[in-house]
Amino acid sequence: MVATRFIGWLRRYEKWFGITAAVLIAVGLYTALVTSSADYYQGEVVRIMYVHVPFVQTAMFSYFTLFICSIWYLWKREAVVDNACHAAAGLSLFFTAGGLITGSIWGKPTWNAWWVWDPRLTSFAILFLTLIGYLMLRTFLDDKEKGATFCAILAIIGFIDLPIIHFSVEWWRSLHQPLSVSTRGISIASDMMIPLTLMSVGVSILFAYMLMVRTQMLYLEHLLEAKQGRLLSEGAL
Amino acid sequence: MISGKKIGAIGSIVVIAAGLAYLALGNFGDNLVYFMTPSEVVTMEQDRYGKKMRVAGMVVEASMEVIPETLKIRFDLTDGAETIPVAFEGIPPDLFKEGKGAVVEGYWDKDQVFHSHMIMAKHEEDYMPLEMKQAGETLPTKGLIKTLHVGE
Amino acid sequence: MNRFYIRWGVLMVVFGVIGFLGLARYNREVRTISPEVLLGQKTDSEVRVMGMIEAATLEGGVDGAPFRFSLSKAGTKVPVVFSGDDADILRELKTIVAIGRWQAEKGEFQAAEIALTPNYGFIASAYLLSLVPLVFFLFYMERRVAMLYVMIKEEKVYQAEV
Repeated sequence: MVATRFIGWLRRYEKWFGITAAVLIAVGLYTALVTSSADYYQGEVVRIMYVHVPFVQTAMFSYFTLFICSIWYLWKREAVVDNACHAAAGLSLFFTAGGLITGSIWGKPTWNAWWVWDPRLTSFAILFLTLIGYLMLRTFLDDKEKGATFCAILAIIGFIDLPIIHFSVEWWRSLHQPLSVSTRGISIASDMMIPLTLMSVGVSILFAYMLMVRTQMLYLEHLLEAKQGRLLSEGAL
Repeated sequence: MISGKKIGAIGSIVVIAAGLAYLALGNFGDNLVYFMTPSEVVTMEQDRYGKKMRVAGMVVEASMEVIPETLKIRFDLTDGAETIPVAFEGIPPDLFKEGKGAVVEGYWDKDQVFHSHMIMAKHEEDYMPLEMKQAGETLPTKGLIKTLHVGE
Repeated sequence: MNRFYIRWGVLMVVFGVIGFLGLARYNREVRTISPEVLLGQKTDSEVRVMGMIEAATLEGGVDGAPFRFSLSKAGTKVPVVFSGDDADILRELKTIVAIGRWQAEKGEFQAAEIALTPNYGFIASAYLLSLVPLVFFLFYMERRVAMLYVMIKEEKVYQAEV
């Protein structure tokens, strides 16, 4: 059976992702908070970048995972892939909320505004709303298979927002600064690039680990529900 | 028979769709032009005088002037082509600086001065330690003036 | 389940140590005092004083003359002299940190260095508001999975009897 093999694989290899993420984030946090320098223009507050950027990147990476899993589900129709979609959406919402909160806290001391409706922030708010809509739909739709198909289509449509978020600062006028890593080159000094890279890679791998854990959780919950349902119908419970 | 769950499902779709439509069509459309440039301000129609708007530009070097015993400041904002004077009352944000970007909110009036009640600092995408900056090093950036004229 | 709690305990200790090192660096290199505290103490050791440069008080800087300005916070003002050349961050109505010593005989603060506001409250809240929920989220998720495996196993035993 595909599902049991897939879940067994997740259970066997998850710890390597967890350990790698913990090591990268521990070293990343140490460099971010203790050894890296303050910025010439922003001062110490630039340290917020080392949580904000990894959270936002991971929010988008997890939505990309949701997009891939949704296509996979529509193609193979495996229930366990739908569990992975559901898990990726929940995690993406979590990281999106974290990105919004840390961004807001960074915006106040640097821009002098907690929130502005500029293209970058607005397109990121749309990602947040899309995910809330997706998860609300999941809880309300009764027919499991029909609901999963419907949600997969919604997730695929919502993918359009990702390139818009990324390039919004290059295409339109925004308060948010343009891309720091682009075809122009890297505009971040190596002293700051080290904690940023460690944290970005670390949080992305942590997301992979969390996805493995959460997919198992949702799969097992459904399995348990199904088992209890079967026992109930046989009058055993 | 329509179940409560179905109503919830339809309700949630309607709410989210309305929210997205509002953002995508109304708000987002407006905010594709999040700010105006000084060039657009000096050439705009008279009927937009006194209306609330945002203008972005670079604060001209050595143009900031604090009026003693008050919290009134004046400075010039440029987009490379045109320069407008800005009058502001209050404490500007700490990152507000001559030679750097700023977005000012307020209105343009017949006296050819932009009256602002709110200043936001617009920083660029380069990050480096102070020692590196003082050593005269630079990192590749798009350039503030270029980011103002994007999408023209 | 014991190994699960030990693993989380070790993780918390590691991240606690990093947090402690961050805090130690803050106390050593970032922490500031207000002009009021400075005037109250009047020690001659090196301190970091944070305040806003008063409107229209910044002068000097021409031909190597030292900068003079009044640093204020909550109504208390301190005259500051700064003779460094990296005066790029000085601006009226801006909050800055002056690092130096109080000169009792002159009645002014001699700043050797000027720094930007640390904004540490913002930094701490950004880290706490993102990482603390992350830890709780992951902890409850992992614990739930561990419990589910146990429950499924029990269900299986029960099912075998049916």
